[in-house]
Amino acid sequence: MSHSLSRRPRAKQFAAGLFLWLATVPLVLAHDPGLSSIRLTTAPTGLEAVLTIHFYDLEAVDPDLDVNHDGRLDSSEFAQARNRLDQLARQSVTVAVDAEAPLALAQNPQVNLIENNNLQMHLRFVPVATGRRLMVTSPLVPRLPHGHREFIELSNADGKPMGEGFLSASANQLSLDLPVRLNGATAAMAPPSGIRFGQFFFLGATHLLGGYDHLLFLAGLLIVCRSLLKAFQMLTLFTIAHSVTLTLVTLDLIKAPGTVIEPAIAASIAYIGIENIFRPKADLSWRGVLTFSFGLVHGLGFAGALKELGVGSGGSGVFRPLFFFSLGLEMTQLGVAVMVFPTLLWLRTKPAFSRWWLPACSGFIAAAGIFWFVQRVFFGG
Amino acid sequence: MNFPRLLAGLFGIIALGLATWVWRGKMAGHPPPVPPPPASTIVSGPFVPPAPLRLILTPQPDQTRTELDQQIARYQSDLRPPGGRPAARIAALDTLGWLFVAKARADYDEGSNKLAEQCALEMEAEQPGSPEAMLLRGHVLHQFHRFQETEVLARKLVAARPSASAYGLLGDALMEQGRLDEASEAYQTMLDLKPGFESYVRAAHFRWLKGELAGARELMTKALGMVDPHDAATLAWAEQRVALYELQAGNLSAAKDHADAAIQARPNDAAAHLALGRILSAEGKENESLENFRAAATSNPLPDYLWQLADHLEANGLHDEAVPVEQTLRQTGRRADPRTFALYLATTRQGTDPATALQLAEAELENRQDVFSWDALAWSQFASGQVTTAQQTMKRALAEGTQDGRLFLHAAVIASAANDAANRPVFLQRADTLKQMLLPSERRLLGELTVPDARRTER
Repeated sequence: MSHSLSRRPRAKQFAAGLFLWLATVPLVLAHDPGLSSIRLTTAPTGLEAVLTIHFYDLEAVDPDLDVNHDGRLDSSEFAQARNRLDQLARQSVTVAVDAEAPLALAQNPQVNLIENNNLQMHLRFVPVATGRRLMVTSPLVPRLPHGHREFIELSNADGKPMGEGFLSASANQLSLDLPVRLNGATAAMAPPSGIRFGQFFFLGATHLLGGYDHLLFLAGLLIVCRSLLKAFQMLTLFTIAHSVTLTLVTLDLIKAPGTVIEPAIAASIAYIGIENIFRPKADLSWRGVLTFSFGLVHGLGFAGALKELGVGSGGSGVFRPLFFFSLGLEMTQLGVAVMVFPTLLWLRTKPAFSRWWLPACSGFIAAAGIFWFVQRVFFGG
Repeated sequence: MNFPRLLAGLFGIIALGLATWVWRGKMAGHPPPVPPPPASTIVSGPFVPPAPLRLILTPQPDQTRTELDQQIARYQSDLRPPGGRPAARIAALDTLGWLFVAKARADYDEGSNKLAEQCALEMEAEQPGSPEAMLLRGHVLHQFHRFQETEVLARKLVAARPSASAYGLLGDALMEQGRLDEASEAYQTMLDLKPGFESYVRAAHFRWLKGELAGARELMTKALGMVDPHDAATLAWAEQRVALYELQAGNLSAAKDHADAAIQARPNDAAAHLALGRILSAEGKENESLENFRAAATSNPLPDYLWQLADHLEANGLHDEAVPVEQTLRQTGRRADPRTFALYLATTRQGTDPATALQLAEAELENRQDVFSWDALAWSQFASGQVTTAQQTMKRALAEGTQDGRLFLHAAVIASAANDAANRPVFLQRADTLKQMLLPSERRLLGELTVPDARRTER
C-alpha cells in the first residue's frame, strides 16, 4: 500500500526550515517534563487503574522523595515515603461513569517501586454494570512539571483496546466511550480515537489503489472478459466473496494469519495470469467459481488493514467502520473498472491484441504473482 | 461447472498456504501466543511503556485549535494506516516531529518536545541510523538539558551527514558544556558551510559570551535582516535578542524599538515582554514595566520569568502580589530550571536556603559547565559562607570574558567579602556600567556596595 506522505512540501519546509535554529536560544531551554501512563482495565471485579510514573516527576509534588539527593529512589527512601505515596495514589486519578459521582475505590491503593525508578500505583474501583462513557480525571497532572503528559489507555478484560488519549495540566480530563457492558469479557471496542468514518472510506479506497496486487488481480479478471455483462458478473462475484470474508474476519469469527493469506493472494494472481495464457476462453461458470474463491482469499487480505487499526471483536463499533471501509473498496474498484474496461473492449477488436498483447500482459501478471509469492514466502515481504 | 478442476485449484491454494504457514513458523520460530493476564488480578512486574508510534498518533489535549494543530492532526492521520513506503513514512515522521517542536515553542509547552522525541525514536526504529532522527532527537535532548547525550548524537550525525545543522547541534552541546574552543570550531564550520540566519545567531551568541558585544550586535542585526517577515515567532525572537544587546550597550531607545517590534510581531511572546519590561525598568518606568513582566510570566512561567516578576513587584511595593509568584517559583523552580532557582535561593537578600542552592548548583555543574553554571556555584558557595572557594569559582565564571551585569555584581560582592581590594573596584565599576541589566534588588545591592567607595573617594 502506498500513501501520499511525501506531499505537502510547504509544511515540511515550514517545520524544518524555521525551527532548526531554536537550539541556540538559551531562554527557551527547560527540563524534560516527563511522561506517565495510566492503564485502565474493565474487569468483573472492578475497574483497575495502573499509573506508572517516574519518581523524578513526582518530586514536583513531593520534593522529599530523594532524601540523599543522589538522583535515585532506593528501597529505603521508598519505604520512608510509603504512606505519603499511598495518599498520593488515592488522589492520582478519579473515574466517573456517565456523569455520575466518581467511583469509590474497592480496596486500598497499592504502590510499588519498579524498574528504572518508576513507581506503579494500582487502584481498583468498584465494579459498574453498565455505562456509556467513562470520565477519567487526573488531579495529579496539574501538579506535575509544566508540560507533563499522561497517556491514558482503556482496555477490556481481554486486553482489547477501547480508547486512548492524553492528559495535560490544561486538559486533565478525558472522556472515553465505553462498551455497553463494563464488566463483561465480550465488551466491544469503540473505533480508535481520532479516526472518522470518512477516513475508513478513504482507507478502503487507498488500500485498493495502493495495493498493486489487488489491482493486478482485477486486471487479470477483466482482460479476458469479452463483454460489459461478463465483466460486471465477475466484479460482482469478486465483491460478494471478499465482503463475506472481510466481515467474518473483522468480527473475529474466523482467523486469517497474514503469513498464509498474503502468499495465497500472490498465488491467485499467478494462477489467473497463467490461466489467461493457456485457457483464455475458459467457460464463464468455471471463471465465476474461480473468481468467487479467490475473492474469498482477497477479502481476508483486505481485513488485515482493518484489523491492524484495531477494529474488530465484539459487536457495536465494528459495523460502521466495516461498512465505510467496504464502500471505499467497492467504489474504487468500480471506478477503476469503469475507466479501464472500455479501453480493453476496444483493444479486443484488434486481432493483434488477442494474439500477442493479451498473453504478454497475462505473462506479466503471472510473473508479478510469482515474484510476490516468492517474496512473501521466503523474504517476508 | 467443472468441479474436479475447481477442487484441484482450491486444494492447490490451501496446500500452498499451509506449506507457507509451516515454513514461516519454523523459520521465524514464532513464540506461542501469550494469554492475557487474568483480569481479576492486579498486574505488576516489568513496565512496558506505550510504543512511540501510539503516543505520536494519539490526539493531543486541546488539539485542533490552531493551524499548527491542524497540520499535526493531518500528519497523524497520514501516519495512522500501517504500511506505506518507508521513505515516505520517515519523511512524515520527521515533519511531524518538527511540528511538535514548533508547537512546544508556540505554546511554551515542553510536553510537545516529548512527543517530538517519540517521533525521533520511531524514525530510528523504522530506519536505524537515520540522520534525520539523530538531528531531531539531538535537538530535543538539547532542549531537555541532556547535553552530554546531545554531544554524542551530534558527533554521530556529523560523521553520518556533515551538514550545517549537524555542526550547529554539536556547537550548541559544546557551548553548554563550557567547551568554547571546540564549539567555535563547530560553529565556524557551520558558518563556512551555510552562512545564514541559523549560523549568524549562533555566532552572535558566541561573540557575546566572549565579551564582544559590538560584534554580537552586528551579527544579530544581520540575522534579523534575514528573517521572513511573515514568520512571527522567529521575528519576535530575533528582535528581542537585538533589543537585549542594545539594552546592554545602553541604547535604551533602540532597545525599546526592537522590543516593541518583537511584541508587534508576536503579541504573546514571553521573551519579548520580558525584554520590554527590563528596558522600561532600566528607563526608570518601573510601574509601566510590570504589565510586561506579568505577561511574560503568564505566557511562560519559567523560574527566570517568575523571579523577574516577583522582584519588580517587590520594587513597586506590591508585596502581596509577589508572595504567590514566589510560592509558584519555589514549587516549580527546582525542576524547571535548577540553575536559576539556585541563584534565586542563594541571593543574599532572599537569603532563604543556601544549602539547597549549593546542592542544586553543584548538580547543575555536572551537566552544564558554562560560565553561568560557575557563577551559580560561586554565588551559592558564597551564600553558604564559603567565601574563599567562591572567589576561586568566580574566576572560572569570568574566565571567558563574558560581559554580564550579574556576573560582575556577584564577583564584586565576593571580592568585598574576601577583602580583595584590588579586584573589588574593577568588578564594581563593570557591574555599574551594566546595571541596566540587573534586577531591582540587585541594583540596590550594587548601590549599597558602591556607596562606601563613593564616601571613601569624597574623603
